[in-house]
This record gives sequence, structure tokens and C-alpha cells, in this order.
Amino acid sequence: MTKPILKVENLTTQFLTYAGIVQAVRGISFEIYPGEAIGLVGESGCGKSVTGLSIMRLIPDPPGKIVSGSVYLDRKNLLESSEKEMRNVRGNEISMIFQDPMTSLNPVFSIGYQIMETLLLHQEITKKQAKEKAIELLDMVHIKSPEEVINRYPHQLSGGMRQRVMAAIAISCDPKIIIADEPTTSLDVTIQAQILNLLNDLKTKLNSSIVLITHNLAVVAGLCSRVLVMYAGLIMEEGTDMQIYNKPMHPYTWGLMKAVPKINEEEKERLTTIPGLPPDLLSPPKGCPFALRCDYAMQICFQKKPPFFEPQKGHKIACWLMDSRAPRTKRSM
Amino acid sequence: MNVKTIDGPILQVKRLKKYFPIKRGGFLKKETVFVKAIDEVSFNVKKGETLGLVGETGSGKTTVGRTIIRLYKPTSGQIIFNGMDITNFSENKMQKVRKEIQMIFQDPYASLDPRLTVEEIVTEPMEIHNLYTPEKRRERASELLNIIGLNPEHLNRFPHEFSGGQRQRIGLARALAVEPQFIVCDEPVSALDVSIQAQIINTFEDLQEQFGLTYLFISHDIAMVKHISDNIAVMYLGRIMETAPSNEIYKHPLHPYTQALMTAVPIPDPQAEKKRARIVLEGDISSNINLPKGCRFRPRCKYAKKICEEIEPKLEEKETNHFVACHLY
Ligand SMILES: Nc1ncnc2c1ncn2[C@@H]1O[C@H](COP(=O)(O)OP(=O)(O)OP(=O)(O)O)[C@@H](O)[C@H]1O
Ligand SMILES: Nc1ncnc2c1ncn2[C@@H]1O[C@H](COP(=O)(O)OP(=O)(O)O)[C@@H](O)[C@H]1O
Ligand code: SF4
Ligand code: SF4
Ligand SMILES: [Mg+2]
Ligand SMILES: [Mg+2]
Repeated sequence: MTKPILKVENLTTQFLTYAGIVQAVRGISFEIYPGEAIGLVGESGCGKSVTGLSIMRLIPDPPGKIVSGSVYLDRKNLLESSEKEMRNVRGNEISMIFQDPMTSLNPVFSIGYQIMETLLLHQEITKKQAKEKAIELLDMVHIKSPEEVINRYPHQLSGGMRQRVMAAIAISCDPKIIIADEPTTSLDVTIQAQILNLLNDLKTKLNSSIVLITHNLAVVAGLCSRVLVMYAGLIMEEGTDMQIYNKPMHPYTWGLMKAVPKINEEEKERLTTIPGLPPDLLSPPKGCPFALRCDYAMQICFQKKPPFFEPQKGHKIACWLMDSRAPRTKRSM
Repeated sequence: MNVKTIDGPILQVKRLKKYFPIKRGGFLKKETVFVKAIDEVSFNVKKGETLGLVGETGSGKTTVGRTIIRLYKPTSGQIIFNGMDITNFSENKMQKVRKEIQMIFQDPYASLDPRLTVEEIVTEPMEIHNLYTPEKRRERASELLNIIGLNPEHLNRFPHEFSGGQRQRIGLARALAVEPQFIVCDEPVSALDVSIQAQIINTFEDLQEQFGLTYLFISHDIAMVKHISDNIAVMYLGRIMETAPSNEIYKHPLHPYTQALMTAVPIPDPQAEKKRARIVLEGDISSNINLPKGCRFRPRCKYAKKICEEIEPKLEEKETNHFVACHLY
């Protein structure tokens, strides 16, 4: 089997606020393989963005701090790298497309300037070459008349175009990994489809790995071959797309799947709700974080955090129901 | 299932227009141009039913909602509610209509007054409409909290003490307080997490069944709109391109825009996703200040013909209950 290109181990990130310590990411581990797209899925506040930012070492400190863990890019632990080394990693090896392209593009510089800036920083090329490459990149993300668009400013572009410009900057130095944080959340479905197609293209053409962060399980289905489901700073379930969508095994994943209507549903079915709210990350429960909302919760769920069970290769489930001592009750979607 | 009544429409919107004047230009030459936010919109909603309104951002959905309840003065056209033409009602007369048509807004954080308690928020509309005695109002407030799934003990708390989903419930209680017949719901769950969305949507459905409410449900989440609506209207650049029963419009979309829209909605099923033929729409929505000549979808339409450049297609019934504005049909 191929070796992972990125290996995250026991990553723990916290924020020190007036209210107390927000335990945003609570010791998660996963791997990314070359050329694959994985989906990081979960509801708002579960720690998806913090995971992405931690890998990039872009957590604002203070109030944030990566408390423990390691992030290996090949042999290098990014959590122990200097800021200078990280500047080289960002853009060159791992790049990130952010949730809100309006705040991550600089409003006072032209699109062309912003793409060229990244190129000139990381590559030994002339300005003229950088400009040519910028036009080429915009063309690659399917922007029409790129020669004209490089002279425009962010506010003169639509949301979908801004997101593509972000993608152009992200791929400008042929990174090995692209982390896309909710790249389509603020966009209309037709534009969303364009961006997802684009990401798929980049994956195939550049052989980059993609981490797609989203709260929408449906968005992941078309692009990603592996899925991680996060809840309250932890990974609840991990598996291939088929394992997660066809045979999910974690009660939270069941809840998520049944809560959203499917456009192709024949008969109208009542939506299944997950009662209650996600736990407060200032004082997350000691056992399974889903216990208070879970129909299957047992006594042990409130006392001890479930470990990962791996009933099938690559399918990992953090749930006590998988334990051989759990009662054999009806348990499926 | 709902018991749907078969009487005529509770709301008829006819050739409604709403243009916003805006000033444009430099220091020397200022000109007034018009944003054509709604440009001839017509639809009917039957009592006890839900009409879903979908469309890209900026297509005019919110403006339709706000114009119906006359937060905006219509530029032209007609709004007929319960057989009454309310288009030019005075503020005074409109007050009575507003008891029957309530609106729920997109942002559960901005739409509740932070200085008022939940009880004050929910009883305020009853006061405005002079309904019930003060005692009865308080009683009703706690009833309403029960109905929408909050604890009556919450009556003395302030909005900031609640989550997004709970605030949206408070908004719903406020809208229900005056026993309206019709509720305009503008993206009522868009700001909420999926697990909370389902709770609120089910509440909407229960209330409809219980009180025979009629909804205009505005959203860009097409799967959700299809789930909750009896009929769907698809808006593009200020105009309705197609309307039909929900299942019909998903299975047999006629308008090229609707076709792209329906296939763009992702399905949470990798096998179905891989098999799907997706129509990817190129480009962005055109300007609603200088509309394209002829069909307003033409710049993005791969079927465009000569006639599409010249004549704007009219919304016509091409199959039973299935209306479309396109020269292909
Ligand atoms: N008060 C106003 N003055 C000027 N233009 C306006 C005003 N309100 C809305 N518009 C314009 O009218 C058009 C339709 O806006 P509207 O808010 O109805 O869109 P929408 O379909 O609700 O979009 P979204 O999905 O983003 O909520 C947009 O071009 C908008 O910029
Ligand atoms: N700068 C910050 N200061 C304090 N808390 C933060 C900060 N950034 C994120 N958090 C908290 O960390 C948790 C996870 O956030 P995030 O990763 O942004 O969630 P999401 O899964 O929606 O991307 C949340 O509880 C959030 O409030
Ligand atoms: S560990 Fe227990 S509470 Fe948690 S998801 Fe499994 S059954 Fe439910
Ligand atoms: S009228 Fe013409 S341009 Fe418009 S949608 Fe139909 S075919 Fe396309
Ligand atoms: Mg986020
Ligand atoms: Mg709107």
C-alpha cells in the first residue's frame, strides 16, 4: 500500500477564552494518501476549520494553541517546524482555500497582483513569466477572458469567480495537498457544481490530495473517496465513501443522514430529528460526546469515551455498540 | 397527510414588479438607474398548501416576500389576498391584513429585539392587533411556546440566551401569535445546523396540519424546498421561469435553467452521484439593471434560438399545472 502523504496524530487544539478553555479539537488522528480526496464532515463548531488551520499552523495564538499531537508531512513534523519553514510549506506543499473568499482576498490589490505575489514568493521567475502563469492559472480554473480579469479587483467579481481565484492561488505552486474549507457553502447550487467539478479536475490533473471540509454530506458524495465524520472535536466515524454512505455504523452518522431530505426521495418522508444540541466544548462530557442525544446510549457511554472499532478494513467507528459486550439490539439506520 | 381544501387561491400575485431606484456615476454625472428586483412575477397559492420559491442569490425571492406583505411598495402589478386586492391598501387597512400574513426572517439573530423578553416578543403582535386581554395574551404566549416546542419557563428570558434553532422557534411563536392564515418564511432554516433544521421543518409541517396554514417557503436549499412544498416556483433574474408540483418539477423540469438547477443539487449517495448526468451551467447570473434582451436566461442557455434574442417568453401552462416561460415549448 502507498504511504500516506500527511499523517495527523492525536491533534489537540484549544482556545483560551474568558469563559474558559474551548476544547475545539480533542486528539484526532487521520491520514491522507497521495491523490485522494477526503471529506471532513460535521455540523458547525465541531472543529473542522480548526483542524485545517492547525495543519497549516495558522491558529491565531493567542487565544489558540496546539496543545499536543503531531502532523507529519513526509518525515517532517509540521508542529515542530519553524515559522520560516512553514512559510515554505504553505502554498508550496499544502494550501488552503478558505470559507469566505471575500475576507481572504485583499480588496486593494488586483487579482493578477495577488496571484503573481504568491508565484514570485515561492518561485524563481520574472514578473513577465509570473503574469503569464497567472493568466494560465485563471484559465485552468475556467475563468473566461483571464487577460482581462487579472486587472480586476475582488469586489468586481461574483462569489463563484472569487472562489475560483482562490483556487487559482491555491494551486499556483502545485501543492501536494489542497485543504478546501467549505468552498461552496455561500454559493448557489449551480455555482457549487462548477466548483466541485473544478476540484475534481485539479485532483485528476495535478494529482493533488484534497481535503474537503463541509457540513453537507451530499457535497462530499460526488468528490471524495474517503469520509471522516466529526462531532464535538472528535472523529466519530471514518470509512470509504461506500462504507459511510451505504453502511454507516455510528448513531450520529445515521442521525445526520436521516435529518436531510434527499432530492431524489420518491415518497415524502418525515425528517428524523436529532433531539437536543451538540455539547458545549468548554466542558465536553467525559464519555461519548453524543450520549445525551443518542437513542442507543448505554451506561458505559456516559462514563468512558468509546475507542475506535474497525470491523472492516478502513472502517473505524467510535461507538460502544460495536463492542462485543453491547446488547445485540436493533441497530441500523 | 394534510387535508387540503379545494377552494380557490388564498394568494394571487399578478404581474408584480418591484424596481429599486439607485444612483450611479461619478461626481459630475449622476444618473438614476433601476434595479429590477422583481420584473413581472405571477403565481397563486392555494389555502393550506406550501409554495416553494427557489432561485439563485439576487434572483428576487426576498423581495417577493417583502412586497407581498407590503414592506415594499409594489412598482406595479396586483396582490390579491383572500379575494381582496391589497396592492394599494392604505397603511391603516394593511394593518388588518398583516394579522393574516406574517413573515419569518432568515437571520434568527437579527430578527428578535434583544431588549425584550420572550414573553414581550410573543405578546407584542397581539397588542399591536388589539387581540385578547392582557391576561389572555400571557396565557397564549405560554401555549405558543408549548406548541413550537419550547418550555414556557423560558418566557422571562432574553433572545441571547437561546441557540439559533430556539430563536427561530421564538420567531415562529411570534408569527403564530395573531393566528395568521399565511406565513412567508424567508430562508427560515438556512442559518441552522442540519440536525436542528429537521426539528424546525417538522414543526412547520405539524403547524400546517394543525392550523391549516399556508406557506410561501423561500430557500436556496432545493432538496429542502422539494421536501416541504406542494408546488415549486423557480425564479431567475426577477421572473418566474417555471412552476409545477414539486415531484413533477424535479422529475420533468422543462426550463433549461430548472434542468441545470435540479441536476446541480448533490445527492448524498456516491453511487447515484457517479451515475448522474449533471448539466453544468456556465457563467453567472446577468445584471438586473441592464437585462439581456429577449429571454433573460439566454446568455447562459445552450438551446438559445433566434427568437430568444428578440422576444421574452411568457409563463404559459404547457402541461396541466405545469407552467414554463421558454420558447422551446
Ligand atoms: N432595498 C434595495 N435597494 C436596491 N436594490 C435592492 C434592494 N433590495 C434588494 N435589491 C436588489 O434586488 C435584487 C433581488 O434581491 P433579493 O434580496 O430579493 O434576492 P434573493 O433572491 O432573496 O437573494 P438571496 O438568495 O441572496 O437572499 C438584488 O439584485 C438586490 O441587490
Ligand atoms: N479564534 C477562536 N477563539 C475562540 N474559540 C474558537 C476560535 N476559533 C474557533 N473556536 C472554537 O472552536 C470550535 C471549533 O470551531 P471550528 O473549527 O471553526 O468549527 P467548524 O467545524 O464549524 O469549522 C468552536 O467551538 C469555536 O467556537
Ligand atoms: S458510544 Fe453510546 S452514546 Fe455514543 S454513539 Fe455509541 S451508543 Fe450512542
Ligand atoms: S427561451 Fe430560449 S434562451 Fe430562454 S431558456 Fe428557452 S431556449 Fe433558452
Ligand atoms: Mg468552519
Ligand atoms: Mg433573500
